[in-house]
Amino acid sequence: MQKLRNYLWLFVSICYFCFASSAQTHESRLRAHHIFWKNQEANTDREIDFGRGVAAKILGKYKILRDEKKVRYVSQIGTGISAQLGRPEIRYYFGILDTEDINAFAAPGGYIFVTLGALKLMRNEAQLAGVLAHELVHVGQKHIIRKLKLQSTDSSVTSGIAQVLGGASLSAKIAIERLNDLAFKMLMEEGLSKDDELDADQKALEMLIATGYDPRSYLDFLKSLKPHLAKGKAVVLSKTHPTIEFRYSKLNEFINRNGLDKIQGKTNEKRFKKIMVSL
Amino acid sequence: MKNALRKLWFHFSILICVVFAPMQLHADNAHYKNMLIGERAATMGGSYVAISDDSTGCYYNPAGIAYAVGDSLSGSGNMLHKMKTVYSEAIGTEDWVRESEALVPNYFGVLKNYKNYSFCFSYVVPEAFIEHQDLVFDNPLSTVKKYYQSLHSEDITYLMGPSAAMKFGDRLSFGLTLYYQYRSFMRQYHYFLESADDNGYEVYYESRKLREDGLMPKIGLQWSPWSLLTVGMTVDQSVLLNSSFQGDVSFHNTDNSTGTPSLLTLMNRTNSEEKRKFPLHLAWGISYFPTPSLLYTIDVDYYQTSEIGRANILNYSGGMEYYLNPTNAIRFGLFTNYTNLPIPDSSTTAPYEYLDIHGASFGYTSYSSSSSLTLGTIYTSGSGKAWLYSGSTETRKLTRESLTLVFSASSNL
Repeated sequence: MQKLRNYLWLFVSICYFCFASSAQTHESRLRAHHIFWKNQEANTDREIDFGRGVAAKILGKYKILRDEKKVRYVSQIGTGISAQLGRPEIRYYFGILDTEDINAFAAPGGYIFVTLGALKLMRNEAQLAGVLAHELVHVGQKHIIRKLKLQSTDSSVTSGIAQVLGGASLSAKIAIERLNDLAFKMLMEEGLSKDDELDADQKALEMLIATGYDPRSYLDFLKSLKPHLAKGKAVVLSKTHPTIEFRYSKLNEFINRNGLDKIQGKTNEKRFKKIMVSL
Repeated sequence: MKNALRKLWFHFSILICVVFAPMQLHADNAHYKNMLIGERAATMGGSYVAISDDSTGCYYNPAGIAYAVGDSLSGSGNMLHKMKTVYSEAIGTEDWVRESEALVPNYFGVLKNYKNYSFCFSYVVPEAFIEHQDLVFDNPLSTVKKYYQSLHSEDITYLMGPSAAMKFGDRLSFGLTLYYQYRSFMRQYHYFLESADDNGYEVYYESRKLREDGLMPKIGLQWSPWSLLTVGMTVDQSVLLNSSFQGDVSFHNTDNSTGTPSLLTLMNRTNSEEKRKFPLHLAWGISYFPTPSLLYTIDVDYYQTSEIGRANILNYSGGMEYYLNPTNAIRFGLFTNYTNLPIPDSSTTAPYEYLDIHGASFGYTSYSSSSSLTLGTIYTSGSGKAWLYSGSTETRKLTRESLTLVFSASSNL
């Protein structure tokens, strides 16, 4: 009788164990690539949410230009180049900031802004494409996210961004607000690392070549910035980026090293001027 | 006259051996697992009944598609399916080597999920033999000066149809597939034989065509008694609706060895609408998922036949999948492909081939955010005996090897 009772208990225990654990059945069947991409998707969603907060802070500082024709043009050029980035999961938004300061900004998650002052300085579409490509690379390479160390560097699926930005508690919201401030400060005062800026320049050049634009136009634009920096028309830019001479020489090195000096792409100067005529 | 007859019979025996053996072989009704389907499944030895959580599940276990992650579109192509069969010393002292080669896109499936329901449409090629062979033997026998053989054969079976699955919570699912089955078989065989004394020759020509169509319903169940373990079971049986066979044979023999020319000419046409009976197929599988990077799986397939001259058989398969990292996975598998013919005895006569096959598979998959690409290989090998000479109990050693290169891709919708 005792033996029977023991078997019965054993049977009940096994049944309980099976049924109690059954709620996780489907999850346990998920393979590594499913889990990885589920987390990637979650991280991307949080990156976009975070970037939206940073973009809001930029728009708090600068007024947005309400010129549909020009904004649509900038969006079309930017969207065309963004296909080179390899982040199809992100939808990119482009805007023109109504300020005479010469600069461009990229907030995580795909929010790209170029200032009216920068547009006025540009001479053709290739220069605009170069500036937008530079900002897109910051988004594509998650430069701000990485600098803020939001994403853990290890390969664990539970990354820092998931922990901080995924939280719904009050403390998590305060942490996100604090991170938004840090990102904004980085854009306006501290800047990204020198390596990230050079990386963005170099990749922007590659994107220009891949999309058929004249890569030299981007260098010409950098050169044209110099007198304006001296006049104090690009205070934020000069604070947050390496010197123009340094960037120019590094890009020249890259061009010569890779034999890109003979590439002649389009500049679309006529189209650019037609749309930007009233600036 | 007696000598002439003996010679004629001798020639005729060669004729029969060469004619009937291909007929037996190329339908290869003796084995059920000649081609493995899909990307993950094929590279895990076809052991997939307890997994089946992608569109390939329509073929292995429709219940499994209820647990597919997202909608998908997948296709696989057996880049190259090569088979070599050797009959040792079949024609005199010469080996008879037969090679089959096929480039077959053998799977395509679209899968869509709606809450607890999953729907799929799939196209499968579970059997494909394509052989084009021209052989010349000089002096294969002391009585034969030249033997020329030409064989062109294609035997392909197609399955296509819808599947539906429903899950009852996270533990139990039920699925159904209804395949339309179509088989197209054609064979043209020709040989010429010249006697050593230049006094006779034989010419043989044969053409065979077979068209079959029917239905193959498949019912599947999958259950997870424990979060890291799933078991699956399927039942299926093909039923033919139509079958149409036409065979034309012509044979011409002359013999002048006795000084009196003899001539034998045969011409025959055969038509048949007899429908083959397919076995009832039961499959069981068990899979263990210790981590998101590792799984082990084992399947047992049982075929219960009602056809005279066939035996019930069990086939086994097992596999494992290991993710090196979230974007790269490797797989291994082992499987059996036993013959469904009864064990031969002393009364067994030609045509008869008894061959058990074992196979191994390996595959690598690279995943991106929305797609995957699999490269793999399947090797099979088997040895047995062949009764080649009509009416004779004499046997020859038979070996068969095959190599399949698997290429497959799938994409999320």
